[in-house]
Amino acid sequence: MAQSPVPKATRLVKKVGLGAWLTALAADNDVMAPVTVDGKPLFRWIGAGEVGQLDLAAVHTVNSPKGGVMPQTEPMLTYSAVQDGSGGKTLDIKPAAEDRPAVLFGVRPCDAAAIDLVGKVYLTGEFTDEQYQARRDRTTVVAIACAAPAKACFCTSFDLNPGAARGADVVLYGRSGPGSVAEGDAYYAIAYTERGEAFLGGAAAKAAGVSDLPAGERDKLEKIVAAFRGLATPLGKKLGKIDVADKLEGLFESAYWEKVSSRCLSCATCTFVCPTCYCFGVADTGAGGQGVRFRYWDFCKSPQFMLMAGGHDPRPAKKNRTRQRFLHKLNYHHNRCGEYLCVGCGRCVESCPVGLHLPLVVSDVRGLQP
Amino acid sequence: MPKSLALDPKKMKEAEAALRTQAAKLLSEGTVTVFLGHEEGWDGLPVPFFATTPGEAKRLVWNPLVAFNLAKYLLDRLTGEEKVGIVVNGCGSLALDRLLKDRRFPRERLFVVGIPCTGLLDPDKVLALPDEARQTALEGGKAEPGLFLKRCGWCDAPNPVVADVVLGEKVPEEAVPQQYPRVEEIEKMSPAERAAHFKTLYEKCIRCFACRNVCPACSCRECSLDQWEPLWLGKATVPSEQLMYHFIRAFDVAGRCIRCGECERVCSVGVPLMELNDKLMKDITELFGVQRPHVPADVEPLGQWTEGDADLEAAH
Amino acid sequence: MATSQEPVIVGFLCNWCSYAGADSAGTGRMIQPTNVRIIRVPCSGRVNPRFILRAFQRGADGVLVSGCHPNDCHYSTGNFFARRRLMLLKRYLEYLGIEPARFETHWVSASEGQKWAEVVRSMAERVKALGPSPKLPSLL
Repeated sequence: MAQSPVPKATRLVKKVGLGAWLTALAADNDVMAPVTVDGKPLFRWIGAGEVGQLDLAAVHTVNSPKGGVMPQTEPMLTYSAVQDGSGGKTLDIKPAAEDRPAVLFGVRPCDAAAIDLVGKVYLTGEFTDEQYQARRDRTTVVAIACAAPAKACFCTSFDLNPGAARGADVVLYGRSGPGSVAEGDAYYAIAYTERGEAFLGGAAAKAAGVSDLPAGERDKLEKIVAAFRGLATPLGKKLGKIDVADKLEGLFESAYWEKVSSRCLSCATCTFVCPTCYCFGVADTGAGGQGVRFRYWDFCKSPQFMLMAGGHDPRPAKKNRTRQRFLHKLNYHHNRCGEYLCVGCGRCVESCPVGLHLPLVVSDVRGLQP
Repeated sequence: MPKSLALDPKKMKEAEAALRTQAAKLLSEGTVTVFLGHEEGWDGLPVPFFATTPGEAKRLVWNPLVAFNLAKYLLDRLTGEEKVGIVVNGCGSLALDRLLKDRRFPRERLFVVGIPCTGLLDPDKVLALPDEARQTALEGGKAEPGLFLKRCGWCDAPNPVVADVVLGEKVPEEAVPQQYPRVEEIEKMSPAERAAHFKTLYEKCIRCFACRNVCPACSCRECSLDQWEPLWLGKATVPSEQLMYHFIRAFDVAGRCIRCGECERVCSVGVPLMELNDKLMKDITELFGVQRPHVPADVEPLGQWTEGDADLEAAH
Repeated sequence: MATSQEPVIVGFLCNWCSYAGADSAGTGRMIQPTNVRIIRVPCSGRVNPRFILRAFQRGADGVLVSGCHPNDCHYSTGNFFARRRLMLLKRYLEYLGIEPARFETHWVSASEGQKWAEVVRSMAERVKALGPSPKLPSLL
């Protein structure tokens, strides 16, 4: 992952053409993009009529685009009891209908990397989540390099940067380089996958006037990309590279967890805005002989998360659950997969009502006696 | 908006010093084993903090950004006999009083330090200011009305209603008629407009339960909306369940809401939750004559009745 | 489910007065439409607002609560609490965009079979005039 992916195609995208591009895409795809709603920047599915609300300056959204590949509520199958012709009933089970292809547009490099990170959980190992695979295969991720990292950003504390291409099919780099999203009239669009290449060459792209790179701009493009990739992130500078996985091995019984967990509200804010949280529950809902089995985002902060039939709960207190969250992010996942389960997007820093976030725990852990 | 609404950072600094001394004393004498307050966190924003030693008491802060209702944290300390210290301002004491009147924590186990309040600033708005403006507001005491917490705009209870010791002078109390302009706006919409308004509103909700968990009126040991048997609230985040959650929670706290607006403040996606709570409070005033529905009473409005209550049957 | 324009009305009837009253309307062979699906509760004070919201969400076009007359509650005060609670609920439902005529509360005693038949008839008429209630999308 330290190596940058190899570009497969490069185009120029004029900002004035973005609206037409998204409108054309919305005809055959579900499009998710950043929009500002009542002052809050959110990633949401937009209809063709809402394309005008696209707000790429709102790249630092409250929520992540993970809902594009992992819907918060996702039907898995439908069932209905049908007469079997001989007076009885049988159960007719069908897989849930597939959604249309999707385009996640205006995704941050950290969020795109998170899609790849979480994808490894669903797609590698002993078991492939076929529903996730099918959805991922029909989703195109179009990232936009961050012109101005926010105060709470720390992607550089991991193997990432504001211009990284991990997990993205296409990355848009502002033609005038980092500084302000508003500057410049166009983006360099670089496709890093076959899907991205097809996307840049597709009918919608043509209709939006996506054109070839002007002659002589190849050098400028490479400088711009390098500039984005060399950007520092404010919190990332303070934290440096995250290095706590090994130290955490010896801290399971530390009294620290009791202290830090005491202010947790046990809500799901951090979990649901986090692009690398992926736990889900499964439930059925039905009436009158028919129903739907669906999965939904679950959160380990919930006192019910580990509650078992019979009433036993191996994580009965906030201390257990808070410890679980941070050990999962900073130790367990690192042990199993060789990387931290965090991309430094900074949303937990911005959204937790009581300031209980990952950078805090990292700083605290660094200062703890082993 | 109360006339007394004005920042006085100097007074707050004095109160902070007095608070640290008081809390350290309570802890060193063993009167309490833990003191619930705030300390400075990320980017200068206070966060809830629970001091257990006199040394830790020195980290307590009291400044224009201490917006949290700490009372909810008492529910984490129900087991045991030790006393707990807590610092409250006006609205913080309403939250505490709500829990006490709901009999969720024994008064005998509390040592309450009260600090009269002339207004607090909205941390999110202050954080968004450029550094100089932030400094002017926080240290210079010059803050426009829009920077204050929403609840300061209708506050008629600046002095703690529960306290064992009060730090600083009392603030002159004034009657502030409770008004609900946004509710009136919505009431003027047509039924179809209202239905559409609430539908799009709750589509934003991510069901994180931050609103419920921060609410001092929501203190059930097990929330009925978490139950699996019966499943009152389906796990799917579809409009019918989103509406069910908010509609029912607002009604369950109706008459006990203290109008602190913390639910709205902690909501990460900006759902205007007070539109529901304010409607219920407005109706409680109009229907049952409760003038200050946001102030905890010995018996809440829906826990009592009179023979003269409006004839429901004739209401259609 | 509502079929052929006949509204579905879910009725929460208290066991001691209204359920008995509805029963006596039946045994008295009083003419009444068949729109109401009756759910028996011990007291009108048992009725929780979530029942009513759920009923609307699951397809009810109207919801009716019926209990003992104030001062005649079998549990002496249950219907007084219900009166306050359901009055508040009525305004709340209207605020959400549900027409107020879809939710009604009546007091019907065990001997008022005639009144019950009239309540059912008139409510069915009012709700029918409003048309089917819009269901909020769920997974089903």
